[in-house]
Amino acid sequence: MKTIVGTSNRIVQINLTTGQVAEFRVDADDRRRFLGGKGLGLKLLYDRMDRGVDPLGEANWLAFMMGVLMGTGAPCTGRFSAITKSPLTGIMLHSSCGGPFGMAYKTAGYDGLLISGKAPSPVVIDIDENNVRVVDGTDCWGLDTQAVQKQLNPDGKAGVLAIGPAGENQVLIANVSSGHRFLGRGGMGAVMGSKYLKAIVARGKTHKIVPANQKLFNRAKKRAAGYIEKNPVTSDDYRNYGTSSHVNWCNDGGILPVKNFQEGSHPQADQVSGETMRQRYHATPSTCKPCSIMCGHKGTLADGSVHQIPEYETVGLLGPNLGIFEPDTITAFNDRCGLLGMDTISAGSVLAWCMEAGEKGLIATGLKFGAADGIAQALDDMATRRGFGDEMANGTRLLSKRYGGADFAIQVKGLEMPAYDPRGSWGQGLAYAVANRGACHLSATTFALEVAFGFLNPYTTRAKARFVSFFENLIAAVNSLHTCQFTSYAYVLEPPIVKHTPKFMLRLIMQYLPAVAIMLMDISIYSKLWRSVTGLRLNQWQMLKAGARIHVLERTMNTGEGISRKDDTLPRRFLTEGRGCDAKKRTVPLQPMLDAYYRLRGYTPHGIPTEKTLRRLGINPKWDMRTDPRLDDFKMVSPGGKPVKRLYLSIMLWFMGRAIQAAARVDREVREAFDAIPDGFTFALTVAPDGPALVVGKDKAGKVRYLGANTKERYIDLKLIIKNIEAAILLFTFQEATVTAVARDRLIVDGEGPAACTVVRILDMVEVFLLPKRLASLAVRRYPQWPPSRKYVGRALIYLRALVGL
Amino acid sequence: MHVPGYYEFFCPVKTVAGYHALEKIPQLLNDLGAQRPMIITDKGVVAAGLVDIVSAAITPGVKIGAVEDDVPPDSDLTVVVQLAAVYRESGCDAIIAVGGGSVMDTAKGVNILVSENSDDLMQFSGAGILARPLKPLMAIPTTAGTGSEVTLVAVIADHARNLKMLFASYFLLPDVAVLDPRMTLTLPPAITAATAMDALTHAVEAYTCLAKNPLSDAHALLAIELIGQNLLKVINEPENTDGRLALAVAATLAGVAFSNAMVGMVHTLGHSVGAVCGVPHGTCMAILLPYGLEYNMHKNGHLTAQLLLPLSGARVYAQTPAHLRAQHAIAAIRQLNQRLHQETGGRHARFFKEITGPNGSARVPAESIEAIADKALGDGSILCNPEELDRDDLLMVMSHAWAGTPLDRNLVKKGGLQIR
Ligand code: SF4
Ligand SMILES: [Fe+2]
Repeated sequence: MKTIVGTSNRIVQINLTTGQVAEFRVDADDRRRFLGGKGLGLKLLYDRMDRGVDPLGEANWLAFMMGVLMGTGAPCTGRFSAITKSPLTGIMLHSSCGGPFGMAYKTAGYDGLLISGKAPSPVVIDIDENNVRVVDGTDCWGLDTQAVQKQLNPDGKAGVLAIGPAGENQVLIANVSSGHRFLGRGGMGAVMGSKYLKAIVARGKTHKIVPANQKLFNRAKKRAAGYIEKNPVTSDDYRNYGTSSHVNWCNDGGILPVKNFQEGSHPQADQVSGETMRQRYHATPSTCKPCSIMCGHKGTLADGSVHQIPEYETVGLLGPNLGIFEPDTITAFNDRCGLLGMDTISAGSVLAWCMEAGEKGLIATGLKFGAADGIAQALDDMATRRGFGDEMANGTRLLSKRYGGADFAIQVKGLEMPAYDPRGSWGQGLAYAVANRGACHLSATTFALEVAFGFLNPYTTRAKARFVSFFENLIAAVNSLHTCQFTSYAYVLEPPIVKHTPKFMLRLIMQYLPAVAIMLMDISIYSKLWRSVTGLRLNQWQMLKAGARIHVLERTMNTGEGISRKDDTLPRRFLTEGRGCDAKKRTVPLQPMLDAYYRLRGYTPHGIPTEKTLRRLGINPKWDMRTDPRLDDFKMVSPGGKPVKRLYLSIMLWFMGRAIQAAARVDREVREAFDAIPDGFTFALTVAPDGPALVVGKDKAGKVRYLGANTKERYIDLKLIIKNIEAAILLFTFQEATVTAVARDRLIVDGEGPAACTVVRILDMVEVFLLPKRLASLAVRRYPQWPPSRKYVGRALIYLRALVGL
Repeated sequence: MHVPGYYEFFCPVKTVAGYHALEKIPQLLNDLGAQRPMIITDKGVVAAGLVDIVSAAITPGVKIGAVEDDVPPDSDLTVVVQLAAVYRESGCDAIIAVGGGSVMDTAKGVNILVSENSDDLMQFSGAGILARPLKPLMAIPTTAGTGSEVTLVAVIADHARNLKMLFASYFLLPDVAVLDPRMTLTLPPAITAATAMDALTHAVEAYTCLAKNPLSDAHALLAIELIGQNLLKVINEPENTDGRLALAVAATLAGVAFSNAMVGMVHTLGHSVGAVCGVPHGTCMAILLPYGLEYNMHKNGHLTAQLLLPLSGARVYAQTPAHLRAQHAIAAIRQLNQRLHQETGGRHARFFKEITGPNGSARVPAESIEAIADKALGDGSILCNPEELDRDDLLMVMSHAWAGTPLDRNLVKKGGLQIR
């Protein structure tokens, strides 16, 4: 056995079109700047790829990167990274996997593998310490993921990475398997399929990896292992119940997707929780290797057969999200997806979309919420692109483009959303919207802070942008070291400062002084591990900056593909539809969080990294960063940044509301106008989307009352909605008359026409009372000729009453 | 040219117009992915043989799922529900509406129900409630007037509860409007006149009211010119297919114009006269149009003046001194009414007093004027009129329009806010 100190730094590059194989090394500077794993892989692809290449074409690259920590024996370091351009999203895709391929490849003496081109017929890449061979793979083509691994690796000594039928058929949600674990998301399997690459076999165990600084390494490793043992999530929840331990608290927190995210909790959820499944299946570990947390499990069904117990995302998307609460059924679907080589999250989401689209009459597939019938068939059809499965194989974005129903296609940038409803975890909403690969829960896992640990209030926008960008940096670094990101529960929460601060203090600091909270976090364990292995210098802050560099580099590559603010959004469902489990019917207020996030990130308000940001992080822009030059002509109006205008409008509307009430008591004509409105009628003047408002109503006795600024408290018969705050300012600074605003389509009238006319007439009269002639004649079509007694006495009385609130 | 500081314009309706336009329908249906259209129409249209023409033109390529001619003269909720059931039972996948405004509104209502798979139309009433595209809808107007083939609203009456539901949504816009001269060829002169005057009013009000914009203006001007040049010609030679086609196109142009620029007081009062006395919409429009222009003259006289050119042609326009053009444009409209009155043997009314019911009694009795004014105060179109109108103003205009006397413009109370 040979020994590698630190890392071998050997990266193999294969062109499948020409069959050319080369090997190269990366200089220390890039290794420090991009750490390894995901970061280095991205950098290598950035150097090699132009924008606009077809993800399923020859020009797309595929990188498998092992990272620095793998093979050293540090906790949870059986994981490796894969990077490519996704056919599902059309932008960059990174995935992490803990299958045996990683350790095998690393201990064969390599750090990375880059693949481009396209083989003329099915091939398998076979690698050992001396040889890289591209061999014929025709006899494997068509096999499912387990059969192909068996065939290529009968004795189990090697590590295999393989696609199933879904990948072969370039199903856009196909994954890549290694052992029982997967490079799950974004259609990595389709990229392999498009290259006719069925599998990669690595024959390792010929090299031993030793850290450059053994002493430091041992210390860090011991501390890391200690933290993992002490932390209740890693040592208890995950170890015993797996990620499905999320089911119960997600259900309690109202973020468990039910029926295509129409609901956020369900009384039957416990039937599919990690706790229940552990009992039911007598779970035993089945994990990435090596691992100290051991979240993966397998179990035994009633018929004696042994299966992988589904992970939380799988449970969520193939269970409650389809209205299914039967663990055996979900396990069967999970197995099916595994064998076909298809992402369970995306597959579940596609099925749920089809069910809802069926209910709404857009398509007819026969799939129904709550019914397991037809699902197994649909999965097979998807993987083989048979019949309607051919459409389903393209994911929810393309489906909804074709058949309508984009509002309930639960995807961001084309990637289907995992099983946390952002309406009960607003920070996660921001994280989904801005995550580089599309709706991804792993880019910044704020749902845990908001719902599981209760450090952040899920229903505020406060501090969310800061935590999202912090976690993005941290996780990008963790995925580059590379280690399992579940270690972050332990490494972030267990160090003394966090551990021994009372929870209410932590909550206060995290919510109101998020920057301080982040400064106080001790995550040096990560940087120490990396430093001890490589022997290169790196502290915690440099590591976080490298994380930022990696994240922004990925964003830069995506902007090259046209990504900008318009894409950083959520499905309409989360922005406009409340849910039964939340009496307040809250939705995600995305835009203000987005503004704050861009500011923190150093992006333009259009979501594009500024030159300054790129310079600070040392990223060389390869292309013009503007996705659309016309954007330069537009100034971004961000309502969050307009506190003065909001305040002004709030005061104006408040006063106006009280003045209407006063006028109805003082002036005969106003009273008569109100007589035309039925008793019990309520109307509101509001500013969209969530601006100030005034509500006025006639009570049962016919008395006119100002009812405050809250439009949600009661049923409102007539709403005059000003479309945006700028239009409201034009109106209330009397630059535009009410009728001009109507003519210019700045107002939405929601309610009966006649009442709307009356209300506009009342508003006009009240304005005449309140304003000096010079202003009022700008606001109304015709300044009335009232006798002075009516005008001045009325004005005095109305002002008086409005001020004291009579 | 008047360019407002801000405006919006939208019209995605594919328009297929001309000789043999009907024969294009199979292809158009195919483009929309539909195979089995349901034809919605009314008895009058069937009696005129128009549905036969349509069926004959399209059956070589298309199988018609159902033909329903139950639409009453003003659209009705129960009929909508009934037709939706027929649509479902006969497995249709598109709607072809053949008729006037009421048929179009009914078809839009049916389309809502069958697309949303619901039986409760109320649920979708209001502006912007519909959230997604509906089933394919094709409009074949048989009157050259309402412009419903390019508008995004539908009004459906619930007679049981005595209310009118208004629907407004971009999704209500038909996918295709087919204008074929055969469809209006047999329209009797009086109806031709009234519907054309409705179209003229749409264009004139779109051009002279508050929500005008350059895009709607372009449509409005051409509509006015086409009507100015062709209406009398068609009344004299009803078989003039070129003229018929020109009027049909004018109505569509005017429809595009007013659905983007709204209408004003002529419609405010017109709707109310229609509601209170049941006078056909086009007749109300013809009578009220000159009054609307007179009333607003101090605000939009410069715009009305520009209408003399499309209405009366270049020679008249050039001969008229600039400060008199607005008045002459109004006079030209009055004259047009007068000529139509003569050519239709008196059936085209010039003022409300002269409209009589079947038994010779007055359709608009003088006592009804107060009720009309009250009703008008609640009509949304009042908001886009350039000048304010209170109850007294409405009464004044109505009494002149009733008696057929011109307005005394000195008595109009003039506000200061200009069209911007
Ligand atoms: S914690 Fe779970 S995912 Fe992470 S390395 Fe261990 S088994 Fe794999
Ligand atoms: Fe009209």
